[in-house]
Amino acid sequence: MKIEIVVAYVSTGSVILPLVLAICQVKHLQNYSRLILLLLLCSLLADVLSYFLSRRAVSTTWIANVYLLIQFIILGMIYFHELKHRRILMLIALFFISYFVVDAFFFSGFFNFNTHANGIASLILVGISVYYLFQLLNKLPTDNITKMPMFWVTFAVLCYYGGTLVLFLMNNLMLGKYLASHRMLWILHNICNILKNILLAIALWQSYRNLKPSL
Amino acid sequence: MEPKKINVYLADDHNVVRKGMIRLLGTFARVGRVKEAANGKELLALMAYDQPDAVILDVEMPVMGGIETGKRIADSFPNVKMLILTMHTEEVFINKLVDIGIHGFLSKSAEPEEVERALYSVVDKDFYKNEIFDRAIAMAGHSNVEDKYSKLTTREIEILLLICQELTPGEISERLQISEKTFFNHRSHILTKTGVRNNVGLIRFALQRRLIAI
Amino acid sequence: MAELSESETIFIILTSSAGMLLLVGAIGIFILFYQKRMFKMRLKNIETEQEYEQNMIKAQLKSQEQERNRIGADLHDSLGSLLWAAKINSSFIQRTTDLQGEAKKSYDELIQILDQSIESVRRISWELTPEAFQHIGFSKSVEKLCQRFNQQHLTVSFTEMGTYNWNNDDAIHAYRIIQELVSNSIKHANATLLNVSIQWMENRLLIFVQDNGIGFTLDGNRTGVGWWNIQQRIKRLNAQISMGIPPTHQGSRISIIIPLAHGTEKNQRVLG
Repeated sequence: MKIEIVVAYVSTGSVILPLVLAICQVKHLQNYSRLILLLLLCSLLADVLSYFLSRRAVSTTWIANVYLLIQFIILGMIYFHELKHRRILMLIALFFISYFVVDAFFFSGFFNFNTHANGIASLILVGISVYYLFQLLNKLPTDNITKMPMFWVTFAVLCYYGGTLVLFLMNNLMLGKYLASHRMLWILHNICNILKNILLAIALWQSYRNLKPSL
Repeated sequence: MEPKKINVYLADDHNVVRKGMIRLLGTFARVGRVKEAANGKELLALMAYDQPDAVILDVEMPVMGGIETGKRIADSFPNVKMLILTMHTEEVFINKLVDIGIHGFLSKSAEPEEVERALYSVVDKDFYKNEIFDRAIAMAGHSNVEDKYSKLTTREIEILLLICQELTPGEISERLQISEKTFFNHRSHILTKTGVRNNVGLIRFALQRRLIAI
Repeated sequence: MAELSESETIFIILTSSAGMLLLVGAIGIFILFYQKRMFKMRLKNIETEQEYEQNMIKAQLKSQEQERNRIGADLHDSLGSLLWAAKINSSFIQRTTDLQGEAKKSYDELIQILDQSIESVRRISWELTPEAFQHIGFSKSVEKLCQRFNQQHLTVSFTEMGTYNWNNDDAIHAYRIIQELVSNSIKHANATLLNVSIQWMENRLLIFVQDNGIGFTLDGNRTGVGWWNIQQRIKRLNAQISMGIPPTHQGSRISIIIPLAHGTEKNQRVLG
């Protein structure tokens, strides 16, 4: 089996870990953890759907598009709750969403990967998460920041979007010219995805630990 | 026989107190010459020149206070009786004064008539017994003091007890059929043996040894 | 833009992604350490602030004590002496003049006024500075305090379990607390019985101030300077104070627990 397929399956599977942890605490979930649960479910859904569709040789790129859009929205909502300057956030998000939709329907086409939009999405989210981290520094809520789930979530976001930023930007180029390498490079994306899910799992686990005193 | 006139010196830093005391002392029958000083140092200077029978000392005075003055007088002029005038009447304080050798203690909130009684008492009997004195001595009676003293002879104990009963030297000598000179001899022996300075100390000593009870 | 070869493109993508990941990792670690350090610093700041506040209060209470001592001593000595001089002169007048009728009445009143003045001076200066606290110690001073406050309509009793010679600065604070509580009770509680009881334990002192008066109202009396004083002194002694109802269900009972630096057992053997 080709390594890229193995990695792809692992990537899909890596969603299970945080998913399980989230379901364990499903009764005590807060804002952000609920949204993460949603995200994980969507991720699972998207991957499963892609799998079936690819079996029937139907283009799955649109799933990727929609999924990435949803991911952006969900993560945006998470930070919406956690940060202060919400209006700017709203504006940026709205701007981006509209741009994405316009791009999808009018420019690149629905079935093509939205390079520009996704690249910008990455940038925006990286920016937001770094901003959030610095906000966290100022507030200093606890003595050990690794106990805060949001820290890990942000870290996950940073890793994923930082790692895949260049990839998204170059994606269409690769598809056009270097198809074989494209498949290899998508491994990079999957690795980042796995990393992201692991970090999300840690976040959920910390959230679970924090619940203990009150249980 | 008319008793000899008592010469009194007084030391107090308040001018009005001195003037008032001089006036008052002038109305006492047995009082002779009265001289005043504003503090201990002035008083000692006066006494170097000519000694009185008794001094009335204020405790709180500048330059040299009542306590220091009292010590000096007890050392240099042991025959002069000392009456302390003070606002502070705590037992610990009074006991300290007893150690120095003060013969009587008057409070500034007492009746001025008491001054006359006190004066006569310290001159005649070497101490003055009042409430302040009683309270201070009573408190001293309770503490465990390690005394070094040689045994007193029976005669001496007899004299000690009579002194504690507030008899004058004349009365004591008469009762024991001895001369006054002998009495004073005995007394100085007792003082040396017990290590106290005057009758006040003797009374305290007797209390501590449980020879008398208050 | 010139055409990029495949391998170059792959290389660019890989290295830039790796670079981004490294950057992210670095940010994460940086945030982690920085945050820890900031937190420590903040704790230290809070500690320093608290220490400063403690020192301020200590200085305040000390200066209050010194002020009281000064005023008390001054009052006692100066005014006391003058009133004594007045009494001497009045005594002289009485001995040398035969007063009759109105003059005698006036004279008698004068004496009364003088006596009351002297008594007031003594009382006030005693309240300001308990006599010879250093010498007679905490227990005796509190006992005297109770004796002083004994009045016609109010019996103030003092009980003590165990003994201990306590006469340092902390002892004065504890004494002041009791002084304040007792005088508060007298002023507000309308009681007929007041009891101050102290118990010397292994390394603590228990104080109970109990009265059979109207009890506490939760508002009102807690905001005066007196209560602030009590609170500050309690803090100073690291003590605990609690207010409640005595076993007799009427009145109020204030309990204070003061930790003592060294055990009281040793002293009990010596003095007890």
